[in-house]
Amino acid sequence: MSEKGQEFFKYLDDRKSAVLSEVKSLAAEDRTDESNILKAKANIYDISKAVFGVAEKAVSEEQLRDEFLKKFGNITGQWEKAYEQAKVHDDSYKILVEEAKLSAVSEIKEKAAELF
Amino acid sequence: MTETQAIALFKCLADKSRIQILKSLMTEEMYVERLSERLGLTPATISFHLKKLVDAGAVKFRKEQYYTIYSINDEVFNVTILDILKEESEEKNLQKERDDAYRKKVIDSFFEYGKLKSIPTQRKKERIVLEEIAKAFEEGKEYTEREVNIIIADFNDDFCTIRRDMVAEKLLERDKTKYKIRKNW
Repeated sequence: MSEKGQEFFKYLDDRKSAVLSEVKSLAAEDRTDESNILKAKANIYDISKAVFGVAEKAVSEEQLRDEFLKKFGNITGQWEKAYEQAKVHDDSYKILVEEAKLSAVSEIKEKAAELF
Repeated sequence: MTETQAIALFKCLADKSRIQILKSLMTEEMYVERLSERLGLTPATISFHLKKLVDAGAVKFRKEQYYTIYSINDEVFNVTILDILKEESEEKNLQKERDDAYRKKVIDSFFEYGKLKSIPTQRKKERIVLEEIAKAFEEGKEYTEREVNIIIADFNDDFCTIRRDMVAEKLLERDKTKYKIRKNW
């Protein structure tokens, strides 16, 4: 893996740890629902690592950023749709879950754009 | 408040954010954005918690122009825990429903057009059958043995056995020559 790739993975691991630590502290504060919802966010960092791994194998380093964002976008597009649907149906639980996931998505996209 | 409602309410209250929302609503009625600013939680998080509180009956709301105003549902909070504990258990009601269903099944099996087809051999079933026959007696009224036999004979020809069994089961009281149905059997 390239140096930038390693840096990206380190960023993802650090963010996941930070989110999981927030999950723990919310649970410790008896904010169980918020804690459980935030767990969905922690999973996104692992998903993006898997997507990045596939993209890295498929294309050259020059094309990596576009390939990763394209592949990642295919997945996150579904979450955006789910978020819109949740808002239409006023599903407050789903809104929070999708919001948490999408907040991780913007962080990841921003970092990818910065690194590659 | 039913047991199910009480459990839902207690579960709902076991959350710091929701307690904070309730504390804010104790001071004044509020809408989502105001609560969000006050508690430092996103409007979506506030909405999520408010929905839970509304579903549990802890909070009520009303629409006012563009806003939905939330307030404490005093009625729920004026109920004491002792009041909740004094409520008859739903499990008890379920048990009663099960007992009633069993009773009906026994009566349907042993009675046909108001006649007792046979005396059940199982004591539990016989008791149900005898209780059904006991309903034909007037409470507080004294009956001669002949009158008792006639009433029982309307159900089954073996009135001697049934009369004796009703006395043994303490459904009928015998005082020398007079019979009386026992209260609250």
